[in-house]
Amino acid sequence: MIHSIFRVHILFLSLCSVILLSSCTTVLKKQLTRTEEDRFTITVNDTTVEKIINNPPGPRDNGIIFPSPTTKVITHTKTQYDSTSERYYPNFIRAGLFEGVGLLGTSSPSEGFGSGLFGVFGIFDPEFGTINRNEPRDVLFTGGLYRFGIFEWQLRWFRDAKHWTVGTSAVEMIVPEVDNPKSLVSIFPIYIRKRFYLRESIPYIAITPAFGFGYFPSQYGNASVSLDFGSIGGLNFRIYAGLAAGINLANSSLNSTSASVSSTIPYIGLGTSVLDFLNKPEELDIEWKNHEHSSWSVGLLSFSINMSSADTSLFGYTQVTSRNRTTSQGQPGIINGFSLRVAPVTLALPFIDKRVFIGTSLLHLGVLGAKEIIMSVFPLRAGYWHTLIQDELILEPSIEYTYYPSRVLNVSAACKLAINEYINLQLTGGVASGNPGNSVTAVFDLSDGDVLDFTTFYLGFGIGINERLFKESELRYSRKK
Amino acid sequence: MKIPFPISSTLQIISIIICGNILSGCSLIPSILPNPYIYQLNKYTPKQYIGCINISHIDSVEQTADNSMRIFKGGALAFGLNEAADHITDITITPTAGKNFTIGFRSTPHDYLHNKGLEFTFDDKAILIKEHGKIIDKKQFSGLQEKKQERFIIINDAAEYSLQIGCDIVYRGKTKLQGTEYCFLYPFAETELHAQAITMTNIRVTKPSLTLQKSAEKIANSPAAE
Repeated sequence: MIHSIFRVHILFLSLCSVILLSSCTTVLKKQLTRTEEDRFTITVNDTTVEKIINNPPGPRDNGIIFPSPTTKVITHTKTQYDSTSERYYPNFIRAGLFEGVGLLGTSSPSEGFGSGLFGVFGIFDPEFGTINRNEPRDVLFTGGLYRFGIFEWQLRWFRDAKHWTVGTSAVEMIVPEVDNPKSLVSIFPIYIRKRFYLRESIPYIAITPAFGFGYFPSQYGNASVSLDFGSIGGLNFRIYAGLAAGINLANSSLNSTSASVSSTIPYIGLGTSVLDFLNKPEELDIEWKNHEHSSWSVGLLSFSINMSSADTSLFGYTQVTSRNRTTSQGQPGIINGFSLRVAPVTLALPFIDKRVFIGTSLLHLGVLGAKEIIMSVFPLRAGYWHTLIQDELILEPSIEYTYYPSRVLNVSAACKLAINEYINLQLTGGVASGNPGNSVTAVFDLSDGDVLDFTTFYLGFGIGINERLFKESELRYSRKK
Repeated sequence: MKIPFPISSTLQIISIIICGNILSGCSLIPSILPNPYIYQLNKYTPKQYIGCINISHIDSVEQTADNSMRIFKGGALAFGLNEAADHITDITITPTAGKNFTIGFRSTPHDYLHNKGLEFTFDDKAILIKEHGKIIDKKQFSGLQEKKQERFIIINDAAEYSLQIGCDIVYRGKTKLQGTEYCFLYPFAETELHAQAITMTNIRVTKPSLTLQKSAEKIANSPAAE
């Protein structure tokens, strides 16, 4: 139950950051894009010559050059038109949706938080975030560091010394152990970072020392150094080492006791982040239209409703107990479930015409029926990106292996119709075969008596929200000579 | 059992959203990070603000007063009067080392490398008038003297432009190049300049409502068109 609360909060915070990001779209656009405008005046000079010959009436002798009165009107006109030219540049060094880091060594393994690899895999563990004193346990990733809604801007100090940034995030949480008051949490902590690039082309590799402080509700400082790999398609991987130290005041939201609780958290960790884009300072002077991309698609959310061959619909089933055995029973409906992908990304590979891809997403929740459930963190997907109609209609056959917490092989083909730069419609058909996994059956309260292995055909119709489909000409591989 | 998750009250979530909107909405953090390549001239005088952009290395330019800039070797500056593509630029220039430099206009800082627009290049013996980098005219000129200040007035009005040095109008020309808001000043390799009393006066304000498309729409929607 406890870990479910945490899950709900994580989802709630993710939702909040999505709302925060999308609710202030104009503000966000300003943070993401710098607009520069030049104005021009075009002057057009025009001259009209009007020649009128007025022949006098009456007979004239032919064969003789005869003078006739002529009127010549020359009109000069000057017309000025104005024109404006707008250019759009990235306005940030880093902009990201979510970063999770699984921390090692923040507490004893028996009191660890159990965040798991990258700070996200452990969330789906049934034992996540709980301690039962009667059942000792050991977790490897004892703590977790989470950031939502991350931004970094260029810090132009020391005579515009390169690669300095100042940044913040909507929320930062450093959780060393299960004990609540030891956690350090702040809204909009301020961080200063300096990147030392080891590899200056995509995907970048950099060593990043950072120092930051949070002020509400915890008050703390956090110094760290990280080895960063990325971003590529908004995906990043990081190895962290650092020290965070701070205090939770008495009777604050994190500490309900009457004494302040201080925390000193030395840590090393493995992290990842999604929808997290990094620009080098020189890239801030490259117009958006000329930026190079590594992905066929990057999106915020992808949602679809599913028809499937499952015998029980998610939307209408009951649990029936017979002979001490509880099973889920019901009728299949037209719509048996739904699919949700958070932060899906499709990375182009630089061979076979760049159309072979690998992909993943932060979370894939596929509910094909009441018992046919796929829940996955960073599933592995590979396929072929086929353009049916240039820039508009895409066919994407793929095979996806989800390894945790569900273990499912999913073979599918999706048709994606781009409505505009941020919205696309999707029609997906496929077959999924596997097992939901223990933690999924616990979360979805599946009955002990249910047969959990499934092979289900499905057809889904959905929408990609803030999911941009890139053109071949926008890929960086297409721009290399 | 202990509950690990720290934030639980809805109030705090709301405060996050409000703070987020305030911080990012007011662009608080980006606004405390001024671009060191951009200067604002005439900030403290009752004249129009002039935007000044250093288009060279950060150390090649220095602001010496409210409307004065020093340009060191290898430096280059762009001055701009917002929304005025027809303007009069008035600069008093003192070459502090060397004496050869160029005044350019009818281009933009963004496009300057590819499209130099119109230029007056001050040589030892002549003024070279260039369009897109090609010499289109040449005017005899006794040359500037090192460390002696001279006033330059460039009138950039519609298709016409002129250069006045001191009290003499030394060149008048016509061009088909479109007018822009900017004027450029860059010394040759061995020259350093001190540009003082920089003033730009607006002749006509460019308006997005006067674009070709808007004008056509206006004509099409006028009662006479019916």
